[in-house]
Amino acid sequence: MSILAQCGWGMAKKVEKGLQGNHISGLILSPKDMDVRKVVAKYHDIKKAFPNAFIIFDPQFYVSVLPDPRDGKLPTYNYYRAHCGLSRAYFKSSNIEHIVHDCIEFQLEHLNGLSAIVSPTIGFSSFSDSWSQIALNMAFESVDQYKHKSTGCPLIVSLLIDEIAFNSKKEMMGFLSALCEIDADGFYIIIRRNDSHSLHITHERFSLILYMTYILSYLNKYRIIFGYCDLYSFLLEAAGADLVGSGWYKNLRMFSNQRFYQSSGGRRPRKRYSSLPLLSSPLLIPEMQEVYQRNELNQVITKDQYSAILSQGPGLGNTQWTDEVSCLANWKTLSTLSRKISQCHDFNKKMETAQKLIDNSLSLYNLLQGLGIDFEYTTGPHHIHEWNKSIKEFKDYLLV
Amino acid sequence: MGSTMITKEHVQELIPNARNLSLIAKGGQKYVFSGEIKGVKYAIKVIGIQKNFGETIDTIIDRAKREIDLIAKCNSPYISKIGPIRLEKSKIGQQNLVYFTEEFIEGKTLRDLHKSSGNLRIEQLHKLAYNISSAIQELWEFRIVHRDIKPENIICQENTRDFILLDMGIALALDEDTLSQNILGTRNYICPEQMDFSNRKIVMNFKCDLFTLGIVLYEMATGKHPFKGPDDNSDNTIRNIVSKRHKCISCLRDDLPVKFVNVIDRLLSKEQSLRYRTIGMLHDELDEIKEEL
Repeated sequence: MSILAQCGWGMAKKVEKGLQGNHISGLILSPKDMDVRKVVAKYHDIKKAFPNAFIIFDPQFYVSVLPDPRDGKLPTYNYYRAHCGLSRAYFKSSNIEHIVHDCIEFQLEHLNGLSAIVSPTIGFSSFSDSWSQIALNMAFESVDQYKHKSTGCPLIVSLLIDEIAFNSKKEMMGFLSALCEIDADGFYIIIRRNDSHSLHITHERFSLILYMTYILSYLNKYRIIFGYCDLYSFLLEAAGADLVGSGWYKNLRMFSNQRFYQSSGGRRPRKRYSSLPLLSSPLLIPEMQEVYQRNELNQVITKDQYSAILSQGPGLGNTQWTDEVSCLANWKTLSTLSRKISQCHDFNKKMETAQKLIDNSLSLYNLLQGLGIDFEYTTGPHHIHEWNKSIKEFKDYLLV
Repeated sequence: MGSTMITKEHVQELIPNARNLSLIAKGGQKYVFSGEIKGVKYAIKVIGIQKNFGETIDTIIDRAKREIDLIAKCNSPYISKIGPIRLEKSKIGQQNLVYFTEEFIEGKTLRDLHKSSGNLRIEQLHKLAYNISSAIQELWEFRIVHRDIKPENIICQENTRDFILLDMGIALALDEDTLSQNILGTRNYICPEQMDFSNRKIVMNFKCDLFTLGIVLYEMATGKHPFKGPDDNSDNTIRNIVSKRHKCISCLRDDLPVKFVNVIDRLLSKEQSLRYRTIGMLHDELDEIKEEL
């Protein structure tokens, strides 16, 4: 699996540096944050500098159904239906045809040479509600229209699924049976989160997300790309995901509708460090500082070029730990995790490796907590216990 | 409603140029005769039909004709060919009926083969899986779901030992063992989604036939139906098909390669998404298994 830059506001040169450093293998463009002219320019610049980069464009059509969203530059795109808070009744087949047509044509016309064309979608919160049926209709329409194009570029069907939908296995299975009728290269899946902490997802839901990934990938041979991911990406990879997107800000590592609403302001988020051994992002101050003071920094760092900044103590490195460094270090950690999984040649080995990473992380938390280091609830290890349970449940699903 | 017994004399009346007629099988309202037409031997199928769910006889026949016309276009060597009489309707007494001809294949039905030779060897099972899934694939090219794959509808050809799928035109098969238009297929050989009326998203497709192929393979490998115990009536069997996991194949027979057992298990998945998305994917796995045999 490879990591993709989940683009958003404040891109600067992060993507280029991530590609240069081989931390990421491509990017997911975001029309909300760049108008058509800028997206096209950025796309061609990166394509020229990194011809092998995997580049897709998330149309973000799903913003059309949000009431009064902060949709940024999206209204500059012809396929986007601005400020209408589209209702279910809008999605009759003729309108779906037009949306799909405009969205695919935009990508073919302006972004020639994309690694895959991404179909438009809308979000849904239940695998059995009418919104999920609309999402399926849009997917099937996209496949129908795209099969008449001879572009040689694969079609990826996008889905935006609220995490609540994963409360029902039965409904998910029914949806997947319909989804597996789709003759596309794969799926670009975004999980809409309701928790305020990106790493915290209940084991009941996460195990079903893993199971869905396994079904689509291993059993049905679709290519699976997850958008807006965080450090749990290695588990998605073990379950069969091919690519994951992750960005520089919290809202680019965890999707929520809030990304499309006016920010309430507030102070800048506290700086964090993405730790591979902990499978978490502890605060630079005080958590990493405390680890340093207990002489345990070596146990917690990912051991890459960015960790050197912290070698004299996170307190001293704090000023050098810029947004850009933090982003690159996070990508580096994700790609290192990914490499550990992708080195395994079969599913069972991948799961074993994932389990080992979790076991090691839990042991490390125990050790550090034993030394009196306190971690905030958001840092862990609560989420690791949830992931651990998810793996067990996921394995149980495979036995049935 | 009582039904008229169809005899070879009736068939002679229906097809005056048929010769050497002989009744070879009967099930419910369906009669199969062998007979020669212009010197070539065919299977002649005569099926009594009834009005069903408010449909007129003509509606049923029209749909069946469309299906048979499509089947006539199939080229797969694993599908029996439609003969010179594609579909005709007639009446004997009060009994409406249709009849058509199929290529006559010399050989034994899978049921008879199993009765005489016992559980199939792995090579035979592999061939059965490959041949019948190829037939399913060809039918699906024309968006046809067979819906009645069972040992009685598969014949092991005498010369080639290939397995051929018989009994196309299920839309006509309204005999006692077969349910209505809505739930076509013999009760012991249906897929779970045929009984799931709650999920509007699931449609009947070739994966339904893959499930029943899974039942046939299990039965030919172990001598036991995966969902029907000795005391189960058809309601119990249907319930088992929908909700009960089959007994592990290795518990009944330990000489099959794990990969082949996995193929059968996967065909018998309750959920369509757990079966094979394409027949090509199934064939890839069967090819791998063959290399190891």
